[in-house]
Amino acid sequence: MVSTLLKLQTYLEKIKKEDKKINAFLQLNPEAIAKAKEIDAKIKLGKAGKLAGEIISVKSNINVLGLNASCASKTLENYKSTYDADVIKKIKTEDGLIIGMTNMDEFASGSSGETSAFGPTRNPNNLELIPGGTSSGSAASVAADFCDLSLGSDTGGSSRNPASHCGIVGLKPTYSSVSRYGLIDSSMSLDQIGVLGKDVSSVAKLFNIIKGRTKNDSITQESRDIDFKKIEEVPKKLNLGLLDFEINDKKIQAIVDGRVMNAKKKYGWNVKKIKMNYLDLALEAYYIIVYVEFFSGTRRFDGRRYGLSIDENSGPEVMRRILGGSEISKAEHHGRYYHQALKVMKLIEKEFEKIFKDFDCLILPTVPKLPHKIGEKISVEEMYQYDVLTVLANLAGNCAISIPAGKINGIPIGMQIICDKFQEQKLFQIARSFEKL
Amino acid sequence: MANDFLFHRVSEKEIEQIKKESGVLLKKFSNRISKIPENLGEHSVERDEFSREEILIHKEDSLPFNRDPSRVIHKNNLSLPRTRSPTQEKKVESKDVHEGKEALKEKEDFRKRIFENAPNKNKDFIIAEKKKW
Repeated sequence: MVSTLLKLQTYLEKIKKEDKKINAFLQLNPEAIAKAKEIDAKIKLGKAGKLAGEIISVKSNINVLGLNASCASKTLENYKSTYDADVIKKIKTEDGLIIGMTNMDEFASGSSGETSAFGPTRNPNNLELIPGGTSSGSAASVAADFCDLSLGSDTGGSSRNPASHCGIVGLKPTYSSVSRYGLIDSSMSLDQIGVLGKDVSSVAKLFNIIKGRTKNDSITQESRDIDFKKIEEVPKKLNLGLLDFEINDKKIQAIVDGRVMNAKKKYGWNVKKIKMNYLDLALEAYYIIVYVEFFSGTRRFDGRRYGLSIDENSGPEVMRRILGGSEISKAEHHGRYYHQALKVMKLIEKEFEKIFKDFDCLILPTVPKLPHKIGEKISVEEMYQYDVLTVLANLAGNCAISIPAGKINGIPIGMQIICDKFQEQKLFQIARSFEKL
Repeated sequence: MANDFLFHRVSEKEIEQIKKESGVLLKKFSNRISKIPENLGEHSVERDEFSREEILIHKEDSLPFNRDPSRVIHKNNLSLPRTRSPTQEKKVESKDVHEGKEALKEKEDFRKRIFENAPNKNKDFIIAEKKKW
């Protein structure tokens, strides 16, 4: 077995050679080598935790004691975390090794990985293209083989979207299944810490460690441990719902349809196309909620206690959300836009409840279009379209995963599987079955 | 309108432009979602059950109070029962001192980091306001 230290050194060497082009990392952990030695000593003694040997990168909006949680912004450029987020504590307890902090869209505002104040992250599959966002560096760090796993966040697809563009696995756990204490929030009603990895099993392994109730995040709930043996079993009877929704890029839909049909043929699963009400309102409701909550959440970045003033140091996308959020939360509107958006959120949740009475999961493309070139000018609505199929699971609070489904001209395409709340076991089992096809 | 999403400093002129554009976009979004049925009630606080079962976090907390020997208080003296020998007590005491030192160091480190992050400070205070009221 390769030692943690050797594995770390190999990754660090690769980062040194290749990350200048990709820009996945904002900071490397200066204590990583010492920690790797400690972990190896524990392994020798047979006292190591469940994550010993796993090398993990962390999105820069999650607090890791002593490292920079800059949110890829000039506002928090020099901010050093004063504590460990709950998920980091759990990883450290199980001897996972934090290799460094990854690049991201500034304050998790964006869908492409371009809005970082420290330069865009590039897609390891094609350096001219966006890697997707907002966990751009997390996805790129896994895809470029700079680490084993990564922690991201997922407010409207921020773990699944870059996982799809980079050809890796990205998980958005059920809302409230993972503590967000120590995550610098983007939109509290929707935020969730996500996991990105090279395959379903490793993602499941990290999820199993970080999940569960903690006293610091009052909404967290306990859930059953993942049964790793069961993940390897292909479910015999399964009702798959294939979302009937027209996307512009027919090739993407064809790849996803092809995978589903293969599974139907090989495993004998039932497949039925299903339509979903209120789908056309999801993106609009999502962005209204995000704008309002983002504006509210960022008022603490006033340059007094830490960092600089966000209003004076941010890029255009962050400013758009602050200015837009400020406008629609004005007292004169009596919260009607936000309130209406919350109603849509509830309607979508109810739609999913109906679907999961008859189906085990819903399958759809992760992203409806191919990634654009870095720096290419597109409209705001075109940018937001990247999220149209991922926001659904955030609005409903369900768990969802993106797995590689194929390629178009060498560009990876992701397939999304959504399951009911706290059904991660089933989600991993279905995803793993697709992986085996 | 096509936008540049790459990070750049936003000028006053661009701020005005963004403000105008985001207003138009959000109005469009709001109009679209205004068509949903109105009689949904206060959905944001609506739950099927209004309370959920609290799960205890720590194993030691899940022990009923009167079964945990270290927590039993004797009726007569209202003090914790002595369950350790004098030698054991000494060891525990030195461990406590050690842990106390660690806790103190942690506090100092925390204070240091908080102060490092603050843009305006003097020796003992973070200066949050300076004639800005």
